[in-house]
Amino acid sequence: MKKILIVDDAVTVRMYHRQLMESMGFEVTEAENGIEALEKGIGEDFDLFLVDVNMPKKDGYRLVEEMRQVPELQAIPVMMISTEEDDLDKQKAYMAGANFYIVKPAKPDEL
Amino acid sequence: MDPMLESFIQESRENLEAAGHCFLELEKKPGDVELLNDLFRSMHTIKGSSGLFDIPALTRVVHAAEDVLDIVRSGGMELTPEHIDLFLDCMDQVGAWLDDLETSASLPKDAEAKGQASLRSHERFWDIQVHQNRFDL
Amino acid sequence: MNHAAANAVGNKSEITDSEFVRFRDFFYRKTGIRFDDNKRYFVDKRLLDRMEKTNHESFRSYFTELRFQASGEELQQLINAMTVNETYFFREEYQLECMVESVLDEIVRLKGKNKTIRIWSIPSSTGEEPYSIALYLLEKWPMIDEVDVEIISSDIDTKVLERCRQGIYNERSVHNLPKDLLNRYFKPTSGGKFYQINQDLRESIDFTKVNLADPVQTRPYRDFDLIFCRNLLIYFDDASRRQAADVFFDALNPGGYIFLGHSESMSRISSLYKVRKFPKAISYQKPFV
Repeated sequence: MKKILIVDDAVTVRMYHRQLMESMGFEVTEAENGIEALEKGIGEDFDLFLVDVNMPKKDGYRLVEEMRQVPELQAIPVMMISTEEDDLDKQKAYMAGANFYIVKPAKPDEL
Repeated sequence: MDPMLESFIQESRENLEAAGHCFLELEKKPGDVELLNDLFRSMHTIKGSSGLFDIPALTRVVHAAEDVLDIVRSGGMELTPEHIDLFLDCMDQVGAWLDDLETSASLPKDAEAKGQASLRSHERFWDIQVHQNRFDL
Repeated sequence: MNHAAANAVGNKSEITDSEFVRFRDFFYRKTGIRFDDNKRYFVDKRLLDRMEKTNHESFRSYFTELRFQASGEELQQLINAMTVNETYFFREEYQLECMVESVLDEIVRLKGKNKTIRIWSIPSSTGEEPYSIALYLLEKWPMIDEVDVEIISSDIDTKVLERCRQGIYNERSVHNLPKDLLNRYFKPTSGGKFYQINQDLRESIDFTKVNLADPVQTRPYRDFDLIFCRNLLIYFDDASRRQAADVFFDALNPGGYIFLGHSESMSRISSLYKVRKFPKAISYQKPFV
């Protein structure tokens, strides 16, 4: 089974994405912020990170930047997710090292 | 009740409480960046999560508050006590709607109208401030 | 923005007219209780008292906490402080007489002896009313040995519910109670100044917290045959009264009865009920269809 780490500070949004991802056959782990994501990410073989942009304690951009410096996490695909449909944010996400950028809440067909 | 809606109500009440504290602190420390960031994030989280449900009036009101706070945060405008009152009233409206969601899983019929009224009052403050700045120049 | 800071610390211990109006609207929305302007002094006094106890220097700061506290704890404290609890045993006794002489017999005829009769007493206040109902059943209703009765008593104020469970009363509370009942069901405490109702009675009533303005809280209250709601609706405005009448309507079984206080009339509140004139008192009945 494919494993995904959902990183978001909003508990309701995490709940929504967990349901969605589980219905698509993923095994889901959750993290509340960037620091927790790095802790949980290392040592587990995740197939995908779903990362919220706006979070306290290390936002989404910084998390991805740091992931790209860590050998164990370097190659994991990252999907950034934001409430804003903003080209600048999108650019920032790709610059930081994200592979995909989608707008919240994620819809099944986008994934 | 739908566990996700239940979670949204609880989470949003906590965010409203946090925001209330921030507003009061801001009156003592006007322009404090940390406080403004916390405040912005509270609104941002309510707005983001509200998008999971069909409650456009609530989303719009919180979105408007978030937008104004973003302008304040970037130094484009200052918060007066009167404007803070307005924010608190908006939050009160959101709190009342959360009560409605808890009882009936939907917003009352007049939600749309009340939401529009609250957006207009934000705009009024915004206009006043823009005009004042112009006179200052 | 210096005036912002000045404004925040100014106006200590004072509630302005516009603040009062905001508070009144908020409290009404949360509880269904509306304060008239002539209650202003009473309201201010209790608000200032809660502000002091919670270390808020301005009303603005207190009100923000009150409005947005996620736990609602301070709102509950304030409700406790705002609701008056003034009652005594066997108050408006003619209704209790009507209950044991007319109403209960009719309910038993309707349901049969093997069914439990459910009575809801709201507001419980400090417990005088629900205990009076229980005492009346024990003493004056011959069928009590044959029929099961459940009494549930509710209040919005958590402090008085605790006092109900303790069941300790002063002289004034028991002044209307016949001496022999006082002797048989109560035991003097604190050197004879107070009376505690016996344990069997204390355990016979289920005391619960409920806010009539909150449909989530009232929803579980169903299948009652008789409701006592006396001298509560006088604190409500028209809209809240109507809402309360609907809550009671849903809580009653068809054919069930409700007693209101002597100055209250259901006919002025709701057309859902049928007026029933018994020899001792008037009651309102939920129709069968």
